[in-house]
Amino acid sequence: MTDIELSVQDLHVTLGKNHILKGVSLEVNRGEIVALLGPSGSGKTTLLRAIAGLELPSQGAIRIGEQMVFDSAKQLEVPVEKRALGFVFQSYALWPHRTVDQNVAYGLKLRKVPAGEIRERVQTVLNNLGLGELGERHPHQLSGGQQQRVALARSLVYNPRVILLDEPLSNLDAKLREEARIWLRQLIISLNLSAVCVTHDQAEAMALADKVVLLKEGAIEQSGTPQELYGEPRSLFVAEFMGANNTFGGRISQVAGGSAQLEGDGWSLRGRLRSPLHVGDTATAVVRLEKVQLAETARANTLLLRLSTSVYLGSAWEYVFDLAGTPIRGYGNEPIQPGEQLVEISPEHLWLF
Amino acid sequence: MKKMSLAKIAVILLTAIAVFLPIGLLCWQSFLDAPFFQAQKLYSLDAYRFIFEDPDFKRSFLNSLYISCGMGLIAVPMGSVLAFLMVRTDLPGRRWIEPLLLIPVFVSPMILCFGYTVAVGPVGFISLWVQKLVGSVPWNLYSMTSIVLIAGLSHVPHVYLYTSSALRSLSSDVEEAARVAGAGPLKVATTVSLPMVMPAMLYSGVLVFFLGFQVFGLALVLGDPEGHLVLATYLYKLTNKLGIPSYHLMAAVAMCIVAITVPMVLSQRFLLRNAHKYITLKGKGARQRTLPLGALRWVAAALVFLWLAVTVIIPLVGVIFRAFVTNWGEGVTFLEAFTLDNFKQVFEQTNLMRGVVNTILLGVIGGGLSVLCFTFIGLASHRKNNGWTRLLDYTVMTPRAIPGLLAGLAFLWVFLFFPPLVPFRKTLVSLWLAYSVVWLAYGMRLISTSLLQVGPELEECARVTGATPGQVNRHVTIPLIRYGLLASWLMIFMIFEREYSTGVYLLGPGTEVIGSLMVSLWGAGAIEIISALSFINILLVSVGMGIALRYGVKLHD
Repeated sequence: MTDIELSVQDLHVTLGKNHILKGVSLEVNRGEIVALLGPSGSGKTTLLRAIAGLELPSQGAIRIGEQMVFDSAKQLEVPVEKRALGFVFQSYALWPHRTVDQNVAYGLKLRKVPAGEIRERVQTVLNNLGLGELGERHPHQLSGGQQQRVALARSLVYNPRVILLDEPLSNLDAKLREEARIWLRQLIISLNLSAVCVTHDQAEAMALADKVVLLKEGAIEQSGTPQELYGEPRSLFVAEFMGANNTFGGRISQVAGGSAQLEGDGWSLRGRLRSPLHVGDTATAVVRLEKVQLAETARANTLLLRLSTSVYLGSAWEYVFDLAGTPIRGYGNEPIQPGEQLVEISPEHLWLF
Repeated sequence: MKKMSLAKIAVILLTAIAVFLPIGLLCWQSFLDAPFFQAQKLYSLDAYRFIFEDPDFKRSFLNSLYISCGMGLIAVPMGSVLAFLMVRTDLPGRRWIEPLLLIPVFVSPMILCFGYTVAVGPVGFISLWVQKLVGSVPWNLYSMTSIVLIAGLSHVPHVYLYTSSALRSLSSDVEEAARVAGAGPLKVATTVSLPMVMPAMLYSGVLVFFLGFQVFGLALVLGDPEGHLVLATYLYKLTNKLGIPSYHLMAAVAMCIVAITVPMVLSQRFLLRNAHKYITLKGKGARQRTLPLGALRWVAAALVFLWLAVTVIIPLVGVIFRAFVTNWGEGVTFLEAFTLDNFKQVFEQTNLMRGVVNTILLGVIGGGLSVLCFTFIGLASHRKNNGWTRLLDYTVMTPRAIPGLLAGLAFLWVFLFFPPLVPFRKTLVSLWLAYSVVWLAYGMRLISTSLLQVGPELEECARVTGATPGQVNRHVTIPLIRYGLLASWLMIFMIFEREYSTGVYLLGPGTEVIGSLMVSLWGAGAIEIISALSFINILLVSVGMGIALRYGVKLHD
């Protein structure tokens, strides 16, 4: 008995002439929530659909619990309906001709559960999701948030081992979405489910998941905990995809151990090497917006920069400085005067690629 | 997901057999020198040689070409302008013009042309009235010019249907931009709206052109008095001409017609691929605003009314009028001649009465069965794209190229000489199969329009929840399209009521329908009975139209 609920090995999917997935491997442990993150066209939805059996991979293997559901070497393909997964579609895909009760009960009916038990289980799951009173309604009589919960109820009611969610929150409005992601995470944890969730929103991925898998052009760019992806990006792509960043270019003038000196037109900064670079190489520097700070006194890694403009955001001020023609953005708590300002970018947080 | 089940492959193969077997039979027969069921037969090109040397065939071909070109030249511009007026402008009375527009699509051309002979023929009531006014009748209904004109006018709705649906999917801001830039309504139509739906116009142009080669009833009624033949009537009269049924000659003529129409249908497919080149799809909630015509409104309305009067009102009034009089000619008044005897005759003659009952049965029960079959065919290729579905695509498209008359002939042979089907020859089954194949493309269009409206994730979700493909069809797809299927049933009912040429060769005791009875009675000159049957037929179609309008069934897409 392993703890791995879902395992995907070297999965390739080709649709027409397009090679959508180019060898993706992935493991999901019991009770773990994994977010598939990536820009559009990165293959994250295709991966989810291939796990469900809605796309036919050209190569690779998929195992759910103890059961192999796809193995190209053995020509094994378990049909969609035999995989016993839960799937929440981006559009919710509620059947408009059935009431909420009938939508939720469908999976149990197919599994030949006795009618009395169906009624009981449907009511329980609806109560758990705060939909107890809405069983008689048709989907079009529900709000977006209610529809999303019905879709969730429908995929949970037959106790699947793994639940797959395709951008489950993207049809909710911004405020509701932030509440829903916390609620959704708590729900999945309380049911001790394993979940794979597709999203294109890095903040949502970090809030929801125990593990984030970042895809780029059909391959995994980096996977790990949210902290790892945000704090230790292994490539420029990951660094730029997560969070809000300042990016600027320069030339390496000195390398010492894990750090290096980057020089540009009238400035020089120390930063951490995140890829092998040598003296004389051109490099790209990335620093998170929140790591750009105002300094009181000139130290190492402080620069005297001219303030281009500042914008009031409500919770903070956003400053825009000018670094030899490149805008450098940072946050602060009070308005500052136009003119030259001392700005500190600590070497720890300046990543060189 | 990508594998085809055996049941689906079986459905596709059966469909292909139903379509290609009869056509194959025609093709094979055309290259034989004797009927295909005779033991002594040789492959030869005699049949083709005979018809190519026959001056009548050459004349018929030229007439057909003339009619096709004329139809295109009349119907395409008129249909497009009509579509623009109906869809994009504040033309008065659009609501009630819409159903009237579609009458030529749902009423058989036999009936309309028959109505013309009664109304504006040499002794028609309008002709007599005009004669009284100006001393002579200034037109000749039976000339080629009149035939082309009537064929063109009665095919305006076909162009209208395609162009209007393209115009509906055009976002109105492109027109408003033209208005703001300083263009008047006419300028907007000719420089923006119509050029943008050019592909749809081209598509309908090709449609009208090959429908021109399929013209039968119109040429039969209007071409007869002065002996103008077209390809279909030439085929129909071959038997009379030679005195014996000459299978190979009929097959050869049939193949000539098919040789012209099949490439047309194929080219339509190519055109359709480019049809949406210019169409800017409306976003959610993008409203279409109508273009104010100003003073032009009433001019436009008058022109549309004139077209309606000539194409719909005159023939319909003519045929309804004729159904209620004993005879007609100079000096007869309506009240003197009024009678219900024509209907009495229909009800007293068993074959005519059977024809009426059969027509209803074929429309209601046969139509329902056809929709059922079309649904199976539709589901067989639903969300699939592979060799089988491509075969089905071509199978479904092919009957469009086959005029009903030819299909009826081919099915007659199939039912005469294909042993398992022989017992059904004299039953409505033979007619039903022929009708279903002839209207396969139309029916499949109705069904697939419904199927396309079902979101793929609704079906996928049922699969993930644990349903087999069959259960998905029964629990999700079919319940979701049930209203679409009912509407399709209604449309198929009306089309089956209208159909006249497919039953011509299949006509026999037990397989009479109103349409084919009218063709055969026309040969016998039984004007009174034809008009009574026409009236009953119009009534049946009106019932269908009434239901459609009452329940808001869209008569076109």
